[in-house]
This record gives sequence, C-alpha cells and structure tokens, in this order.
Amino acid sequence: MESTERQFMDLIHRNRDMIWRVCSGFRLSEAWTTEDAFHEVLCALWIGFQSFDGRSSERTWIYRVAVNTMISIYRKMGNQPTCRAEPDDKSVSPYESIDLNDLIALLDSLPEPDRTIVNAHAQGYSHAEIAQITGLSVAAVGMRLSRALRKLRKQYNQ
Amino acid sequence: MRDFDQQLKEYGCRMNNIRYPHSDAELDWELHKVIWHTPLSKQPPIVQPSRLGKWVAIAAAILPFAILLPLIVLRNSPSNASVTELVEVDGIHFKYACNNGCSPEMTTAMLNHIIANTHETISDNFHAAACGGSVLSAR
Repeated sequence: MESTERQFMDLIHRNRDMIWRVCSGFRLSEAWTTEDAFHEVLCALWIGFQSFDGRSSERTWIYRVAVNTMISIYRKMGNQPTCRAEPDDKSVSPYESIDLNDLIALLDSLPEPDRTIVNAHAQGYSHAEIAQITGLSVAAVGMRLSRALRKLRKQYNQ
Repeated sequence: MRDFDQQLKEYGCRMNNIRYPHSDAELDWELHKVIWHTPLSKQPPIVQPSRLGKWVAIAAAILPFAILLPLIVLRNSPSNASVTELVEVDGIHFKYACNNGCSPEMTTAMLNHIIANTHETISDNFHAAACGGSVLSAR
C-alpha cells in the first residue's frame, strides 16, 4: 500500500470517533443515514488530504472538513423533512435523553456558524481551535459564542 | 428543569462519548472504498479526448515516423544506384553507374587518372576502383 494511503488510514483511525460525532450531531433527513454522512466526510477528507499543509492541527482540520461537509449535505437536503439520526446499537446517542432533545432542538435552530461554535464549545474545544475550525478570528468566536449562549439560555428558560 | 449550562455540559459529555460503532476491519474496508473510488484533488483530471483531439494525437504520433522513415531509407539505400551518366574521356563516351554518389566530373577525373597512369584500355567492364563505379558502355 502506498504511504499516502497508509497515512490517510492512520489519520482516520486516530480521529474516527470525532468524525462520527460530527456526523451524529447533525439531524439528517430520512434519505441520509449517519453512515452515509460519514462516508461523504471520508471522501472530502481524502480529496483534501494531500493539500493539507499542517498549518492547523489535524484535529481541527478534520473537524472543519467534517462540519463543512455536513453543511453541504444539509444544503443538498433542501426542504426535505428531517428526522433524528437513528442511534446505532453500539453507540451512545446524544438524543437519548428527552431533556436533551429540547436542548438539541434549540441548538438546531441556531444559524451557522453559531451552531458549530456552540457544538464545538460543548465538546471542549478552545476558542482558538474553534477559530481554526470556522475560519473566524478568536475574538469573533468569543463574541458569537457569548451571544449564542445568551440567546439559548433565554429561549431555554422560557 | 435543569440549568441550561448543565444541560449543555451533559450534551457535550454525551457527544464526546459517542464512539465509531464499527470494527477496525470495517473501517478499513470503508476507507479502501473511499481511496479507490474517489479521485484525488491533486491528480490531473482525466481528459477524454474529443474526436478532433484524438485524430490530432494520432497524427502527432505518426508524423515523426512519416518524416523520419523516408530519410532513414534514403540514408541507408545506395544513393544514385540506378543513375547512369555519360562521361567523355578522350572523345569516347562512357556510360557508367556509380553506387557511391560520385559526380560525373569525379568519375571522369578518375578515368583520366587511370588511363594516364596504367595505360589500360577502357572497356565496358572497367571498374573505377577508387569509387566502385563501373562503366557500362563505351562509344
């Protein structure tokens, strides 16, 4: 096997959980399963792999590609009705809790890139990492995150 | 109802606990499919030649041979092998054939040289030894 392919496969093996998380975090239409989305993200990563110059960490690069691919899928879905991704038997779905479903519905109502910012923040990404993922400045990330959280708190408490 | 920030924290924890559900072998198989079926961005696009482009490509492939082949044949074939010339020496016309491309003047000089130095009688079978030309007839 060529070294590029080996490197790519190693990269995916190291980050597969994270990619799967991003795919699982989006509500997909019935036409798209999380596995379909995962496959699409892998294709996008493979296409961009040789142009990845290492300016950002591989983690943020992968997250960014995954999010952008998911947004593209969202756009492709258009006005198709959405449903929650069916949780895989072996995975823990974020949608298991009814209480969390309310929160997830609120998160889904956020426009991009606020949704990605809040999601990444919830998963423990730093402002700097989120800035690299979204292409925004660190200050802009802080401001957008603060505004989005304030808005969510307000809606959540209503 | 729990606090929003607590909920968000729990959501983040659950997200972080999501694990890719398949085995290494299944993931490898998935990756093989991606690698073999997805063209890389750095690879040049595969250009399907148009009809005209195809003929241009064929012509470009053939043209060098079409030009070089006659040159190679000419270079390797005996030059002027079939050429016969009439050469006059001492009032006698010789018809000769030279396989080495000698000019009539050169052959004339050669014949004169041989006649002068060897006093041989020029006959139909006389061979100009230096160039390998042969006299076909003398009148």
